Amino acid sequence: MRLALRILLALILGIAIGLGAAWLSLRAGISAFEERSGPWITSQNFGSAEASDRERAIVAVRGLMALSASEAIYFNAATDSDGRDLDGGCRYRIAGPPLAARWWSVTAYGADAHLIPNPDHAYSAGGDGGDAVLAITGPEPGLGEIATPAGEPFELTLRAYGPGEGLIGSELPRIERLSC
Amino acid sequence: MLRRLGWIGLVAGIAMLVYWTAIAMIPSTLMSMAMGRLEQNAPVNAMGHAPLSTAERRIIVRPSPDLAYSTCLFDVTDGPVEISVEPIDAPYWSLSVFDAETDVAFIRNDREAGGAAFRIALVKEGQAAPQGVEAVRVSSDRGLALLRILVPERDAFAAIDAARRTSRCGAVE
Repeated sequence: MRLALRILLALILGIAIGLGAAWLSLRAGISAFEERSGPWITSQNFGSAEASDRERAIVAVRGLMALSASEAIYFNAATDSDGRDLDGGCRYRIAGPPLAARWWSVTAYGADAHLIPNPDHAYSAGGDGGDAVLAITGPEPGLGEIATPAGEPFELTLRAYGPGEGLIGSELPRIERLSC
Repeated sequence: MLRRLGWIGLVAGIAMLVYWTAIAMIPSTLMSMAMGRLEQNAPVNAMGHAPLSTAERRIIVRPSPDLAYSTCLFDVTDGPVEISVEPIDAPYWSLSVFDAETDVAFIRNDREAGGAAFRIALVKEGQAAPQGVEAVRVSSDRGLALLRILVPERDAFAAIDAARRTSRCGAVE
């Protein structure tokens, strides 16, 4: 009886620790990926059979059905270029040289990984690969700017479709806080 | 002391097993949930055309608001599924095929297609594609084909929406 109780306790404890570790591992999310450039983090194993189980799980949680790196590269940022968490109540400028890609876009997402509600559908900014990257975010966006949630954190995703070989390791846009 | 170490080892072993099982099951579980939601868009083995993503439409996480998504939930259990894509006048489009584990089985974009129409047949082991149709082997019976079309501005959506509806997905008769 006492042995059965101990086994049951070990089982409950083991399951709790295992699930807790899985939750923590996924919570670390994309920031656990290794390829970084300033505030931008990515992995070239999205959508790939070579991706580890953990990478595949993180991508499934954070961006199901991501394309593989030969077709598109997804960079994610949760901080500005000075390392401060992105704050939806602040205005930011995302600016940098043209990217080695056919097309780029910058999109803001809420903490729930969904688009941020706003009446003008001001979710993203984009341009041809030959265009310099320029996007402005803020809680009261002007024309062509991206809306962010006042008083809440948010994240940015920089998508590069048709990436060239030099994209990884090249200069990516800076995320500069303009005002709060 | 040895007895205590034995119990610690047992708990650690169970924890590791639970951790790896949970991590391994997440992609297929989330894919299955997403496919269930996408079935609102169109039945299995048929092309469905979603409106542009908005904050209110929450089918998958991190959708691109710049892309028009058309989907085909495929099931090759009873035979191959053929997808035909007609060229679309947009700065970028691509067809990608994902298996139940979220791995990419196929991608072709507008440039690779040479701006021309193409057909593929999704097949599993033991199935053959119709003559003259490119076979794409999938490692699971069910999965998702996704047509992404770049919509440079929201005003361009109506024309792109009309053009994408000429693409087809269906079981091979």
